[in-house]
Amino acid sequence: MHSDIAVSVKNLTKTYRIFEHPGDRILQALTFGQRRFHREFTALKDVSFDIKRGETVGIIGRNGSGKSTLLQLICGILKPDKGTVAVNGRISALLELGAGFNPEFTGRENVYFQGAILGISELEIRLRFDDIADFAGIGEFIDRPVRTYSSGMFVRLAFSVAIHVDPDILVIDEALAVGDVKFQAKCFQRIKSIQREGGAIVLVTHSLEQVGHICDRVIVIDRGKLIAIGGVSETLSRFVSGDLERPNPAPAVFHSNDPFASHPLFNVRENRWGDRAASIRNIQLKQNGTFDPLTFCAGLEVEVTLFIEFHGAVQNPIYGLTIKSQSGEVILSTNSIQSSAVIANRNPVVGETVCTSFRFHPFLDAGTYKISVGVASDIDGAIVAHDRRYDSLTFDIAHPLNSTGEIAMHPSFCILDASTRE
Amino acid sequence: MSNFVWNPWRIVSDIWQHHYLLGQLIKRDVLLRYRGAMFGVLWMFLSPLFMLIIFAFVFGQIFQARWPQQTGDLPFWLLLYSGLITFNIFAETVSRAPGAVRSYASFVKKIIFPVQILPLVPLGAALVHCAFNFLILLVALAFTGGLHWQILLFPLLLLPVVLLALGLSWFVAAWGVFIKDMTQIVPMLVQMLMFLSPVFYPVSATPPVLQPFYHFNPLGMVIETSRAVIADQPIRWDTWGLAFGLCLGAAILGHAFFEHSRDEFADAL
Repeated sequence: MHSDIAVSVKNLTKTYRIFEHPGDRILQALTFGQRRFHREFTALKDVSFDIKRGETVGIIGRNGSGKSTLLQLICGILKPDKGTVAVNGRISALLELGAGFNPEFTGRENVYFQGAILGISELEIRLRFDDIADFAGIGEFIDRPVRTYSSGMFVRLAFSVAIHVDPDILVIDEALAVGDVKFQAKCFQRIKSIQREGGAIVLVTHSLEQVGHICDRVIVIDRGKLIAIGGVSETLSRFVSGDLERPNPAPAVFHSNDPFASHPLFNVRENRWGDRAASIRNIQLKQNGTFDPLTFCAGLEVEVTLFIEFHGAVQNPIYGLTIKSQSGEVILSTNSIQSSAVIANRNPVVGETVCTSFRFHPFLDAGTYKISVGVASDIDGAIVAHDRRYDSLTFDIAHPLNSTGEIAMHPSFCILDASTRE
Repeated sequence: MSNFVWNPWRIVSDIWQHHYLLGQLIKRDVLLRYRGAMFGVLWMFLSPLFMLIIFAFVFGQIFQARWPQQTGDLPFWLLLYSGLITFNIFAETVSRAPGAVRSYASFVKKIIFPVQILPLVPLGAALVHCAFNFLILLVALAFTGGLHWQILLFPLLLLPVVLLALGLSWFVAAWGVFIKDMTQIVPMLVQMLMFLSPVFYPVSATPPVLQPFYHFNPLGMVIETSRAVIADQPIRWDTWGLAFGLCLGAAILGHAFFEHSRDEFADAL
């Protein structure tokens, strides 16, 4: 196998034998396969792909499409019926949170045991233990039995162990969907550093947002077959628009004359996806009466105006805005339904262009920040993305004062007359 | 069927590769049993001690029992106890084997794990208990004045029963994955086997018609030879050698069966 390849999957097929009754399996064994006592269910059919080192690949698809089976095959937990899986390096897998944790033992004992499972010596774990405990952030609970943990603590500890063993390949199944926002942000940062160090990440998730944020490529599995593989923007767009299920899909481009491209703050590394029922045609940033200034002042109100064109029937659209730091940490995330302002949100007409505006005060330290915008709608509780433009603009904050720190708190200083204060 | 490992050294080196993990598993298994108990791991010492005291009281004081044709001057209750030490390695391991893999379902299905070492966990726990039982026996022997250097051979003499327990453990653990009833059936069979093995009586006390059966029961051979060493009688090395051969064969077959069926574990659990 080429040394650049972390995981190579070739013509992978997995068929489950389903026995109606446990005794049928014995009967089958006793007849040496002469008679069949089972039904067959093919979970995966002829799937092939390669994952390179340093690459993050998201696997998406409906429930029961074979995603988890694929991960189990990559990990070597299941044996394929046909085809091969070749893996280059140490795999750390989070297929089920806390699998391998024993609730009767303390967090500390479980961490050492997880290390043993991953083939890491006691000494090595001891060296990393403080990092693991710090990352999990569960305080003195580390020395209490795991059964006393809240589900959040459980998740944090399990995740912390899995990512502190320097895996060459990190396999995650749905695990990121849990934990609070702050912990998720920490996980994303750690994942980014694994990416930088050349580790490959395979992620199965239902959260297309996560895929959009951290993946380099996307694999779509449907009824056991690989139906699409490719770049995030293109593949996600085709997936959410339902193109993948149509025999002759239209090319997955938004608009060739996208005014964004000429926007002064446009970020060429933008990640864009959605089902194209609506598209964000333009965005304007305004501060102090100036449109799209090259630098913004900390603390002064900024207005973000979106121009959204609706191409299809959309019910109850939701407009969203996210601001992230250069390192990808989410600083502000808001949307039109979270906003306290009562908005006259009517259903737009096809062909109409809607103009929306967000206002916020960037109490931020000097530096570069990224803006993501999106339009989606809520269809019976499921969020359908129409156009998501991640990290589409960058803007610089200039600091009016000479101070350092995360947040602009407008410090001031003076010397007082001590005698008058007492 | 093609890639079976018949070479015992390969099996041993495969297990040795995971010795740290195995040690942790056994430690957890033993500790878990006593965790939360007021006397904790002290029970590992206390329970065999109480058992021996009861044996001494009932068989030594009340029944004043002696075996027919008993040689040596070791009291009956110590002979009984030493036979039980040997049998308990087998009994504890094999009785727990049906759940050895089944009870670790998440290890089989959800993490990358060397499943073949799981049936060694009940064996390891049984050996830990055996060590404590043996310590109590040494103390009792010292007390009754039966202590002698030959007793150091006792662990070596147990080797066949360890191999037999291991082989059956691999076999039964694999069956236990597919058939849940094994967790009921196997302990019952082990109980029966206790009375069919020369634990409560010497082979010489059985009807001559049945004696060939006892001579080819490797468990019986080991119980007899290990009891002989405690009673400071000559060891039948030929019997021991035969038992070793049979038990080694059982271990290799058990391993082969386990490896043959393990691909289906994740599907079946």
